[in-house]
Amino acid sequence: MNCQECQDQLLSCADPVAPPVEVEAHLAECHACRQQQLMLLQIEANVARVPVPPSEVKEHFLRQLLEPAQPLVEFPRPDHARRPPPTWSRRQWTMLAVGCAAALLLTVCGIWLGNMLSRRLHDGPGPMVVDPGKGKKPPAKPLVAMLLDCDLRLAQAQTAEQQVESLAELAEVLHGETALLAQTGSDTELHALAKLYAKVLDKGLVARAQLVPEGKRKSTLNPIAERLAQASSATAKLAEKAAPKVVEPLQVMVAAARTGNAQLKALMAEAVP
Amino acid sequence: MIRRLSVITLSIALAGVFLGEPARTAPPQRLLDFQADFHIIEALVDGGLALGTEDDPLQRARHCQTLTTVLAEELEDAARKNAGPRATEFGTHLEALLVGGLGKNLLLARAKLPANDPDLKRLGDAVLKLLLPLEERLTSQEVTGLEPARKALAQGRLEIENILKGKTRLETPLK
Repeated sequence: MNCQECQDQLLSCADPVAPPVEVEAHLAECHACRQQQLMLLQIEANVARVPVPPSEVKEHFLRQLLEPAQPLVEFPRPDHARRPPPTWSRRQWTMLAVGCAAALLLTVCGIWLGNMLSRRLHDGPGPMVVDPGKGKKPPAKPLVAMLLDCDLRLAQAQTAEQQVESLAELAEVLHGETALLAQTGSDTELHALAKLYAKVLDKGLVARAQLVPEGKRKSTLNPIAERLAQASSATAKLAEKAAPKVVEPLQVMVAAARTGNAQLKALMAEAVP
Repeated sequence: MIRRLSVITLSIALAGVFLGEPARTAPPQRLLDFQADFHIIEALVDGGLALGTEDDPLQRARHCQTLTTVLAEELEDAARKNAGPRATEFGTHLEALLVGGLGKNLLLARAKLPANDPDLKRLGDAVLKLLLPLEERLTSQEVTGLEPARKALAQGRLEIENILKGKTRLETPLK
């Protein structure tokens, strides 16, 4: 299964938390599709939060339906029923147009206001309130399961290239958790995550990359270096918008990704004759 | 009409305020999971690093043994707390690790070392000493929902026993 098919199936399946087995298999190996799945889950969780005004239409309809049938009696029609359908004057049309425009303007203002208030709350000095009761669906695969998958690939890796690729995936799994933790403003956890991420890059990925044969360095290390560059810029952007207390661990991750990228590039340069 | 329009306008504006508010409490469950599982996360990252920088299958099997202990403790803890789904989750993880990690490397080590190699025997004995009593405890507990975890554990343990007894060989494909 390729990425396009996997993402199409994720979009079409009823519950992206439990996709079909073949999609699960692809997700286990593809970081990009896992990110896509996470995004879908976040969208799904947020859609459920959109307020829906209460409606009595259904109850009213059912009441009418269940009421005993009334005898058909011809009542005299009230005056207004005999009147011809109302025709709107130009003034009324103008008022309707003005009303619609006002509604649109207020909606935009409302969205802007909501974002601004939320940003202020997010940047505030106090810790963000996390309500365990409101957690709806956990994201697709627990972090423990994703890390174990990486460990199993590392346990079976036969070459330095395979080890480097799996160590890069291990780092990416940790990086994938960053945005979620940054949203909650949990600096302690983010610090711990940043430490693990930096350790995997420094003690694992870069250390092992040195053992990749020179002839295979570019093909093995270049895609990983590019992914590290993307991770570093994504985390830097996240740090710009994040609450002040989580900026420091995010910067640790940016620095680790940049250093890893530079070291891999240096190793590739060494290999060039 | 003006009154109606005003009500509609205000309702839409109010909805706009709610729609505009991003998910402040979006992933609390993920955070709680991270906090609760941090010791396992740390062990898996350290284990991954150790496995990723090691080529010797016997050493890799030892790293897998360390991870086996962590997962087995978590499974036992879940069983003690009557947390059936979590026990099942860790039973499945344990089986995957026993078959795909420990078993695979024990096979490779066995192919390289003499059949009665003391290091290999010691390692195998230590793993079985951990798994067998755990399996018994899971069987004896009168808690519903532990059966899938017990079955997964038994399957993983059987795989290791077969490898240690020489019933599964390197050419025999692992599950």
